[in-house]
Amino acid sequence: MNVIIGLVAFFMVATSVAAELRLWHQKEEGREWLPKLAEQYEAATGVKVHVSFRPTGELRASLLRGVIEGNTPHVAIVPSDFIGDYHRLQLTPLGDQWFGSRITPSAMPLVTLAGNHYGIPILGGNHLMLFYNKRYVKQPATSWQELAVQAKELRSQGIEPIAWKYEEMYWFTAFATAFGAFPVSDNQINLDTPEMRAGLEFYKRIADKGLVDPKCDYKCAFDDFNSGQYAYVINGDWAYGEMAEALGDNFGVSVLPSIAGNSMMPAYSGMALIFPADSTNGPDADALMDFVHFIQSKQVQLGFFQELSLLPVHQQVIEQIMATADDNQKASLAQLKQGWAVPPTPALTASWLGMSKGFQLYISGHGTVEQATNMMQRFAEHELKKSNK
Amino acid sequence: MLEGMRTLRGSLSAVILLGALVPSLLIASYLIERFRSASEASTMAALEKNATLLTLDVKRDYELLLAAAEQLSSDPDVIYSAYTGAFGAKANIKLARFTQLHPSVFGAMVVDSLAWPVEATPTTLGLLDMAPMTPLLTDFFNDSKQAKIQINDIENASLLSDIYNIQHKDVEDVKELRSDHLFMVMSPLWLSAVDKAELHELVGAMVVLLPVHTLIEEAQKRLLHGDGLDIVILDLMMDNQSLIRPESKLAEVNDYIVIDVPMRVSQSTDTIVWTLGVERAAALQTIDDLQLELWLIVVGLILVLSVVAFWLARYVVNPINSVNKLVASYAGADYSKRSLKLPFRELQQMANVLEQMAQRIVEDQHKLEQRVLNRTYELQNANNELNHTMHQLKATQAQLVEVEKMSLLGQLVAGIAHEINTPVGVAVTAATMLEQQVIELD
Repeated sequence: MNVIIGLVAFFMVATSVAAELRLWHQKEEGREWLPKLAEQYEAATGVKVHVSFRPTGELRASLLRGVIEGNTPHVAIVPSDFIGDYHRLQLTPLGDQWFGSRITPSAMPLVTLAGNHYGIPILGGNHLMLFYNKRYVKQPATSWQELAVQAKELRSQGIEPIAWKYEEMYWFTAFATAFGAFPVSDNQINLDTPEMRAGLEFYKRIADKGLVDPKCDYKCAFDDFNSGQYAYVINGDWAYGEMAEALGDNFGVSVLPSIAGNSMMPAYSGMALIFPADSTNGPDADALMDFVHFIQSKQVQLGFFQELSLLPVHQQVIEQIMATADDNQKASLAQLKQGWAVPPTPALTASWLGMSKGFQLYISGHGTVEQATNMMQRFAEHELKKSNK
Repeated sequence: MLEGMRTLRGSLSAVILLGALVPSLLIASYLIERFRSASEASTMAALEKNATLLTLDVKRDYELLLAAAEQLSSDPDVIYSAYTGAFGAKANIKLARFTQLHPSVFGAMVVDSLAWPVEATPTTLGLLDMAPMTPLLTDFFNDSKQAKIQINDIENASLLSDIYNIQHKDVEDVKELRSDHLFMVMSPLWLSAVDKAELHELVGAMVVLLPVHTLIEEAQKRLLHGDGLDIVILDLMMDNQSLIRPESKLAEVNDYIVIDVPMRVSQSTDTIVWTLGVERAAALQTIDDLQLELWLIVVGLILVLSVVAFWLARYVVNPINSVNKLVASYAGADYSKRSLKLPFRELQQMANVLEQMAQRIVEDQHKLEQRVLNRTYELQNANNELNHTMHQLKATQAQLVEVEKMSLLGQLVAGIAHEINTPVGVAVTAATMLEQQVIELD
């Protein structure tokens, strides 16, 4: 009897001090669903998962600050290129025990650096594509020239042709790749090139000609498109679900228009789980691993697709999706095939920062295109040098 | 004119004119001179007041700026941006806000421990050649244990030129710089973490660029509203060295009313001295305008008073002229009754007396004429008698003259005969002799 009482007491104590995990993410579309997922997990396991949202663009800074200040989450859902900052984020190589068995092989390179896995892929895609409103566009443009022609017609009907988050490098890179400009090559910064200059000049030109509003931010590109003010928008698969819901039967997806016969290759990185400050070796490692496997489960992977219209990495789920994909989903997948897989390298992380500097200089009109790419290169190289310290 | 002055009208006009003008001119000139002195004193006081206010404002702004820089350099986003560019965007926003709040700041940067400008606002500062600033930054980072906010004065014309040129697309937009000096404020960025002392390191510095040219421009803007005075900044000295380019200084400082005002700021042992001035001619412009007004008024007064004087003189002199004419007519023996009506009693009395005198003259004249007539009759009678007597006398005279003439004539004839007879006789004698001789000769 005493033993039984003792065991019950132990269990009660054990459960009363069950691990609590902290999860950070930047998935705007998942702000409601992810906490529900956490509740579901808690109900099943008794492990509470605190889910915190950080706006896109702030998650990296928050994680880095967390590492410095000793206030990091156990796990974060991040674009896999965050792994390029593995040193500052204090990411450590993960053993095979952390990975689910049905991860599609094409997802693994996105979390691999120098032969080590620093993250766990949970979502594919995360790429840009062309969304359009079928109410205004019967046949989506396949080239920018065609789109410029359509723009005149659309404007005569009081509809703005196209919008996107103009000053964000993720969007700009999609254009640059059509000119053969890729920010990195074999972990080397590759910004001060004629191709990059050509990309910059084209990008500025379409704004100067009024085809796109350079001041358009994400709200403009998302909310205004959903409300029918724009015929086209360039956005990512993270916006797919909400846009589809907003436009209904008028929702259309297409690959990005070509530029002078060259395809735009939007970068894609997928989303991965990372473990800042070496949390996989922390006191809650066991609970963490269990949660991580939960995220990689078929049920949850399917949930990502069904609830948020995001591409999973679970092989079976992928096959299921491919089998039942509608035209829009097929277009999204086609664009992904034309995309450019960003390597999770420090060079790439540094290149985003360098690109932003030179871009602002050129677009503001305070520097030549040569000065801009030179600044991009110098700043990116300097950032890379610091990250390797 | 002098001849004109000799007339009563001329003299009276001159007296009225001068009597009205001279005292006014004297008093006005005296008052203007007093006003000039007071104005100079007032200008100096206003200059001093504005100079003091300016230095207080500048000092306050400077102190606020330093405090804000220190505060900003404690901001995690700014600190972390020196550590990694991931915080750059947020740091840039805060830097931009900082420069907006402090107009004298040309730009601000976050510089990492390698003296690299990881963030800069305006963005074009990223193009700046950091070489002139690198030695100061290196020293700053090398002295990491004691690194605290520092202010350094950099004198480098090329750097200043670059700073302004890179911000302007058109060369015409770049103004002539008044100074080649730049105050560079460096505030340390300490990376520290809770319970992670090993991360306490100097990761960079927040650098604020304060070109002295901008400092002067901002100060000059404040002075534009200084009591209506056109106060200019003539010089800015630090440690007895002028911070203004010689060619930018105003050439004729002696033409200015000048004041020197010192300014000390915390974080610096240097004293900055502002030299402000007001152009003397401009400061006393009011006085000059007043003098001009005075002369215009004087000219106007002369014209008006001339008319008044003329009219007054005429009013006074005309009756006198009437009297004068009366006297003249009397002098011309014209004693006809005039019955003058004159405005002034004195003159009227004079005219009345003159007329009375004229009347008496006329009466006396009549009497005199009568007596003259009588005497004339008597004289005529006497004259007649005398004429008769004269006539007789003349006749007698004539007679006597005839007699005398005859007498004389006889004498004359006798004489002549004698005179003639004598030579004739001689001649006859001679001739006779000759004849005889001739006969003899024959």
